[in-house]
Amino acid sequence: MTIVVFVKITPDTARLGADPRSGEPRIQQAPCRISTFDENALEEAVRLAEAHGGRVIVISLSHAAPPRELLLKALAMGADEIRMITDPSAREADALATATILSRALRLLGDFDVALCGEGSIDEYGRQVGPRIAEAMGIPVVTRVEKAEAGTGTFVVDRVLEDRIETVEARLPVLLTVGAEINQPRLPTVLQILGASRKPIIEWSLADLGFEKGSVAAMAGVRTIEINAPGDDRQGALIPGESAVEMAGNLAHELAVKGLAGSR
Amino acid sequence: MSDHGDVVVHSEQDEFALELLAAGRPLADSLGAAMTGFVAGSGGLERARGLITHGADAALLLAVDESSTDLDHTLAALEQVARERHPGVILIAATGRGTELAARLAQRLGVGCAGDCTALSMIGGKLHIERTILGRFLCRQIIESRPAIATVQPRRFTAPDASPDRQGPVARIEAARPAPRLRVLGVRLREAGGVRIDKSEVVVAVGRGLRSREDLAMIEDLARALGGVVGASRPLTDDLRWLPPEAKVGLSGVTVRPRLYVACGISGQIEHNVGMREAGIVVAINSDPNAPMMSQADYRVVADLYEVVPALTRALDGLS
Repeated sequence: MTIVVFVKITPDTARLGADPRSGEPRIQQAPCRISTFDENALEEAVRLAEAHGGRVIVISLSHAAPPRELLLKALAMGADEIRMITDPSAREADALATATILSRALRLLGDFDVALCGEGSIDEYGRQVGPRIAEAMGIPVVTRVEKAEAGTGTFVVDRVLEDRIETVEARLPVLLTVGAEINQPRLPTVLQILGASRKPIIEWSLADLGFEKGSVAAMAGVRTIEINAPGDDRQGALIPGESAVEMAGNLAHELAVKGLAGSR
Repeated sequence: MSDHGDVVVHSEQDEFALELLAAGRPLADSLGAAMTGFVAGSGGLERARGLITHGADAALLLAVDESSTDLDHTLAALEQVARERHPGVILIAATGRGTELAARLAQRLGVGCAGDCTALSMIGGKLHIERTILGRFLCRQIIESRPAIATVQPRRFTAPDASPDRQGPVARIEAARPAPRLRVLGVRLREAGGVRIDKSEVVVAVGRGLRSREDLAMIEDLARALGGVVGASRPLTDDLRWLPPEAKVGLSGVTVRPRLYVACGISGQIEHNVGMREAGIVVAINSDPNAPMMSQADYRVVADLYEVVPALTRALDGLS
């Protein structure tokens, strides 16, 4: 089985500060990480390969060379190789451009059985790229899969919707997007980390994929004008009280005044 | 119809389709265009008329097999609408299905799409939107491609009131159903005990401040006293699994907009706050006065939740 995982290296949003004056995010200063749900996707790919045999190939697109330790982490978790597409113009890529680039990379790889990616990335969380790649490849997609089992030429998966969980059978090749529910990504052992440096990281440029200079910006359909921290903090009133019991009583009173308690 | 093309709105969930009418009306007015509701599924005629009484100028109706989960039929019909009618804007509610549908439609048409929009406006004939990125930053974007496709965050807009005498044409869409590529083997409803945190007027949410699973009883008691339901932040649903995933508030969970949101022992990570930002009144109970949750609260209670929560439940019970 050939399993492809799309992995995004993103700023770690939990450790991302804002410029105190402009309110803009300090993206350059934030450490990078593998987007959380993509880690789940990689974990699931490795589990499938362990259970059924096969290769796990990671494809990643970035505007700048990602920290090597993150690529080594993906390999140490069990990926067999990485195809790293790095090009400064990827900064201009929206979901349309990203999916167009990644689906061309997938074509270049040749046959595959299943492609996996996180439901959305922690930076953009647009939840578009997975379904778009499937559409560009002409293959079915199942989003937000929380359980995946390989059959003969098929996959049987549980997908999470707002009000239901559906068990769905899909013929291969198929693209699956996953969230945090599906698994707990492994922490690689020291031995795995040491072994990772012997696995191949193959660098691709956009030219290698047949894209001309300046084509990414021309492809994109959505343009970002500005990014600001929202000024939506609430001006919270401190509930007074000498003890927890007193505070609870004062809060109950406030809620009753607002019509939020006492009428039930 | 103006040169700009109609504004087409669609959601598989009727309550969100109505909200899209509120989001779409100013865009249609600004373009001098009509707003058309697109309905797929059984019982469509009633639902199409519902959209018109709530503000759509016209409706399009696709009879689609409800058991089909792969969205391929709805997608084919929407693609046909886009290619034949040249709408200027297509708005789809950002549910799980809606998000997939919008992304696939946009890819087929070779156009951009902005997801989970919280504000939309037409400036110089182009759709400008706002959405949250990087967990908490407000991002303003222009959709350059046409049709401008955007998904709209559920519960952001308020459905317009109905005018029962509003009239408008309802047209049926004839689109061939593609051969199914996915087969649904089974469906389980997620409403364990009928609890839907996104449907409740009061949500009492709990986070890492809870020390053991048994202590959930205390949170449930408070929720009962307030006439609400229990929600949770991600560590409790995904890591500890003390509550089912459908109780999760936040970026990877459910967006709620209750009248009252009580956060007990929730530190207030971005991941969580995005899911409750639209709540009416927010109470934060936390022993740490500097917890980020405090900046999101209308009432701050700085104390141990193990003391405050039972006392609050008793005080509320005493009121009724």
